[in-house]
Amino acid sequence: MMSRMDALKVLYTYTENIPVISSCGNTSREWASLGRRDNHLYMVDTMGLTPSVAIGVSLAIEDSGFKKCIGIEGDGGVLMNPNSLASASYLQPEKWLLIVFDNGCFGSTGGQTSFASKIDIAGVARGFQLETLAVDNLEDFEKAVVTGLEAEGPFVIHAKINQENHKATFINDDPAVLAYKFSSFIEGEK
Amino acid sequence: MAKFQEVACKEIIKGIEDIHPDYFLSIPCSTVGPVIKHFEEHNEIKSFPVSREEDGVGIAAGISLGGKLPVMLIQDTGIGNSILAITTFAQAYHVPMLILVTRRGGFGEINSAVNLFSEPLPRILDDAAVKTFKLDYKVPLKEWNVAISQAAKYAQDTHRPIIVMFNIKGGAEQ
Ligand SMILES: Cc1ncc(C[n+]2csc(CCOP(=O)(O)OP(=O)(O)O)c2C)c(N)n1
Ligand SMILES: [Mg+2]
Repeated sequence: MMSRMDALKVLYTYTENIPVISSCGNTSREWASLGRRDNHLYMVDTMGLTPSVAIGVSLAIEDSGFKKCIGIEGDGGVLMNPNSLASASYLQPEKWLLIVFDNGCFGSTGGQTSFASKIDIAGVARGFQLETLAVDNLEDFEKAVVTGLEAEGPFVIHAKINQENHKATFINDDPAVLAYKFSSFIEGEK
Repeated sequence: MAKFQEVACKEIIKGIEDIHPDYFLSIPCSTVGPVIKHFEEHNEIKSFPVSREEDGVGIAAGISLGGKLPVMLIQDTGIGNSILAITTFAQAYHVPMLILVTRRGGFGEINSAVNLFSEPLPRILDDAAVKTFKLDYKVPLKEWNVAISQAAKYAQDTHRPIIVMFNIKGGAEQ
């Protein structure tokens, strides 16, 4: 099975000009370790909120040249805020692409068992009538990213990953600066 | 004569329209039914319900970060559902947004549980340093629309979420 880091490296090559919002914990840290960019918004807390924020950005950029807005969330986060799946289904934000990295545990806090060890997140997303692809290896993940980026409507990629956490520097920036860079990027490209 | 609630709703509608928001997000409270109905039928402002206020704060924040203007209307109980998102996201990331909040609890409230959250809420918000303005019988109704549009500008100018709470039931301060 691929690691989160393997998958993020692939995603990185496809997202130079796409707003990407990453969830708190090790996901944002690994994502930032690949190289910081202003099109990235790193969440430092508010577990589970990433998909919701990505819905809002997707709506705001509907008439812009951006292909998508990507939210990266963990299995624990998405099951903490499945409300975001309901909203995405209702609102149909056409530029919303959610990537759920499912390691079946709360990886960032030490690998404690999460609901995803027993619940199929792709099934949950499909239950919310969202177009969903489930993948469990790097090759299929890359194909899913390409498909997701071209999709005409909201799209979910459920990516099974192993429980590896790469050591990456803590993100301890002033959140106001993180947000300012991100919104300036969107403003500049719109 | 029109009832306090009817006039209040008209004032709230006017206040929101003066802001010219791009999006109107809401979870209903029976006291502001006419406000939500008005925006559901609006031609220019896109109106939609959210699933939970926390989700709503996230969506509104995303809209704001993306360069558009959101306004969200919820019950005060919804602050309980979203206080973490308001503080650790909207406030921390300096995301401007106006959250309009109807008051529950206090005189005229018949619910036997909601007072336990609605009564301490102003203190909770003060402790969390979430700036809140209160509209009630002490503020002339015809000033409500001005307060609402000024609060929206204040959110933009001070780069943070601003809450405006209104007590539509009238009566004494809680
Ligand atoms: C409300 C809340 N509860 C708990 C935490 C602590 N916490 C931080 S990251 C994390 C694990 C997240 O799990 P998941 O979304 O599956 O991501 P993973 O780390 O496994 O990639 C937890 C529980 C938090 N930040 N916020
Ligand atoms: Mg996990």
